[in-house]
Amino acid sequence: MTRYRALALFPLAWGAAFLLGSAFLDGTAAHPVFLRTQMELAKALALCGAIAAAQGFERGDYLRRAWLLIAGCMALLLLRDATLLPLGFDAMGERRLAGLRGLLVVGANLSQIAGTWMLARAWRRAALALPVSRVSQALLVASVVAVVLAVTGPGMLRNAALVGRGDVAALTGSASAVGDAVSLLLIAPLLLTALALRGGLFGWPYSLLTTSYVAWLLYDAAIAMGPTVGLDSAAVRVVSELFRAFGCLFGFSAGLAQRFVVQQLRRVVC
Amino acid sequence: MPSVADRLAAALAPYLGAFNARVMVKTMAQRSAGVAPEALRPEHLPALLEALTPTLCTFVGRASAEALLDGIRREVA
Repeated sequence: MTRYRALALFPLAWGAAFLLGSAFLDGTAAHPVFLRTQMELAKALALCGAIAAAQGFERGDYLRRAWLLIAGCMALLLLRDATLLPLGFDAMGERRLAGLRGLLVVGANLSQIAGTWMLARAWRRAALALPVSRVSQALLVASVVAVVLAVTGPGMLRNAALVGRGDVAALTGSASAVGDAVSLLLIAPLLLTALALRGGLFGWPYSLLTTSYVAWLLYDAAIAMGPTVGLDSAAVRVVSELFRAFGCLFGFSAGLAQRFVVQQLRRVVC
Repeated sequence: MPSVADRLAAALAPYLGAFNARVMVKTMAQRSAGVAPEALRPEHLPALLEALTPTLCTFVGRASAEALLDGIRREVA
C-alpha cells in the first residue's frame, strides 16, 4: 500500500511547493510565467497518468477505453494551450482562432464526459453492491447536484448568453462550463464506487479520481465565489490554480494507481 | 477449518474490500450454484469463479482478472 499512499501525498507536496513558489515570486514578472508553467506541467502529468492507466490494460478491456478518453481530454486541452504560444496560430485570424480553440475545448469536454461516465458506471457493470442505503444514495446525489449547479450554474448561463449573442470566443467558456458541470455530477457515482471498494486494492484509483473531481469542483468554486468571499483577483488566481493542480495531479495519481493495480495482480498472483 | 465462502471472501477482500467480498460471495453463490454461502462446497468453486470473472474484468481487465482468479483457485481449493 505504500506506493499508493505516496501517490495520494504527491499532489499535496506539489501544492505546498506551488504555494511557496507563488509566494516567493508574487509581484515579479516571473509570477505569471511560473503559474502558467506549473499549470501546463500538471496537465501534462494528468495526460501521462491517463495514458499509463490505459496502457496497463489490453485492447477491448472496459476501463482501457475510459482512460483513453480521459487522456484525450487532456491532450486536446494541451493542444488548445499550444495555440496561445507564438507558433504562428495568429495567422488564422482572431475569429477563426477563437473557433479552433472552442472546438478543441468542446472535444476535450466531450472526451472527459465520456471517459468519466464509463468510470462512473463501472460499479453497475461489475454488479458491485453499494455500501449505503438507497435513501443515502439519493441524498448524496441530490447534494452533489445542488453543489455543482450552485458552482457552475451562473457561469453556464453567462457563457450561454454570450454565445447566443454571437460571441464565438465565449464558446470555449461555455463548453468548458457545461462539460465541467456534467463531469462533476458524476462525482456521486465515483464516490459511491470508492466507498464500495474501500479497503481493497481496486478502490485506490477510484478514491484518487474522486479527489481529483472534488478538486475540479473547488477550482470552479474558487473562480465563481472567490470574489464574493473577499478574495482579490490575485488571490483567486492562486487559489484556483492550486485546485486546478490538485485536479490534474490527483488524476495523474489515479491513473498511475490504476496501472499499478493491474500490473500488481499479474506479477504477484502469477 | 473455515468454510469455502469464508475462504473465498478472505481471498477477495484485499482486492474488492471486505464489504463487497462478502456481498459478492453471497450473490454469486445464489446465482451460480443456487445455494446459500454457508452451503458452498469445493465443487461449486469453478462455477463461482466463472461468475466472478465479469466483475474482476471490469476493474482490471481480462489478463489481470484471470491471473487473480488462478491465484484464488489455488488458495481456496
